[in-house]
Parts: sequence; C-alpha cells; structure tokens
Amino acid sequence: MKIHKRPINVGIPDLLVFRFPITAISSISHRIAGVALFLGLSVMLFALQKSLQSEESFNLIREALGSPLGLFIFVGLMAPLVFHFVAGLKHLIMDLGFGETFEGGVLAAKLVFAISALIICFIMIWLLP
Amino acid sequence: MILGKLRLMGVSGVIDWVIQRISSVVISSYVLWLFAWILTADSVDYQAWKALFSNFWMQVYTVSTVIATCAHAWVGMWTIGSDYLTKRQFGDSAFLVRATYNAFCGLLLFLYAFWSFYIMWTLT
Repeated sequence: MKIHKRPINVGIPDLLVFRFPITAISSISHRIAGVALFLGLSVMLFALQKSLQSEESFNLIREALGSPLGLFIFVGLMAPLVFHFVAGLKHLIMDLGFGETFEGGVLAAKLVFAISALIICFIMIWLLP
Repeated sequence: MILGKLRLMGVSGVIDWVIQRISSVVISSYVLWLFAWILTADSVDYQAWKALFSNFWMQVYTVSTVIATCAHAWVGMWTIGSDYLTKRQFGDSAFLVRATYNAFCGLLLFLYAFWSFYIMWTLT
C-alpha cells in the first residue's frame, strides 16, 4: 500500500502545527471529551458504589468532594460531560435539519463553546461553599 | 443475522448512527434527571440517596443508562481507533494495534456494564 503524506483527519499533534477553524476544534474537543468520559466512567461507578455502600463511605465521598483533589477530579469529570452533552445536542439539532450551512456550523460551534463554558462556570460557583 | 447481512450490504454506518442517537437520548435524560433530583432534593444525605437508588425503576434506569453508554462509547472509540490507528501510523502492525485497542475498549465497557449491574444488584 502506498503511504501518502496528505492529512486525512485531525490528529492531536496537528492541533499544534496548523490553525484550525472553530468547527474542527469543536469536533476534536468532542472526541477528547468522549475519551475522557470513557475512562472517567470508572471513577463515576466507583463513587456511586462507595456512596451507596454505607453512611460512612457516603460521607467519605462527600468530604472528598470538598478537598482540592476531589474538586479537581469532579470538575475533570463534569467539564467533559457538559461539553460532550452540549456538542452532542448540537448534532441532534443539526440532524433535524437546523443550521446545516457553513455559517450555521460556525455559529453552532461558537455557541457550543459559550454555552458549555457558562454551564461549567455555574457548576463551579454552585460547588463553592 | 440481520445485523450481519446489513453489515455486508455496507449500511453498518447507519446502524452505528442510530445507536449513537438513541443512546445519547437515554444518557442525557438520565444526566438531566439526576441533576434535577440533586438540585430539588431537600437534603442530599445518605438516606435520601439510598432511597433513590433502592427504587426498582431507578435501578433499571441506571443499568440501562450504563448499557447505553457502553454502546455509545463502543461506536465512538471504534471510530477513533479506525481514524488514528491506521497503516499510515503503524504500517503492517496496524491491524494488530487496532485489534488490541478494540479488545481493550470492549473489555472495559463490558466490565462497566457488569459493574453497574452488580452495584444495583447488591443494593437493598
């Protein structure tokens, strides 16, 4: 098989070399968030299991959420969840036939970043004691 | 198998597309429901939390959501593997790399589904 040098799809190293349109950045972010959730599901299931085991382990999980490391892990799970959710919602809306133009795609990608950033900010404010 | 025939006919992408959409609706409804519950609960303490997950339909909903997540993640992870773990990057060993990657993803997702079932099963 002849190996071509042409880029076929966006790779992580490509992000550092080329300038990409916001639609491409939104697309690769959707994928990265998806992989983060694929791995993060283990942490979520672990937390669910512990939170249901006993009152002590439930309180342990609650206390862990108040610690800097626990907060970091929580936001590290919530941020990709929110972004993947909003970006996925964009796909469903576009599947219905809305915004299927070049301008629509760019606007939708901008909205995805803005709305998910806003929701993540709200969650972080809500987490503050 | 109908699925096998459809794959041979080259429409497996359509099946993946449908799996991705249906599972996304199940998962997002569960996420919204859980957030709404936490925001509206009088107090999120152990008793209330355990009572929520002791409900049979909540257990069914939870396991269904994890299974939907596994189907969703399988399509997503498989797609990512087919895009990046190619002959271009790995030469002749690309197939082996991709098979190992797919096996790892499949195994972990199977484990997740089983785990969620175990958590709900051992409750009560």
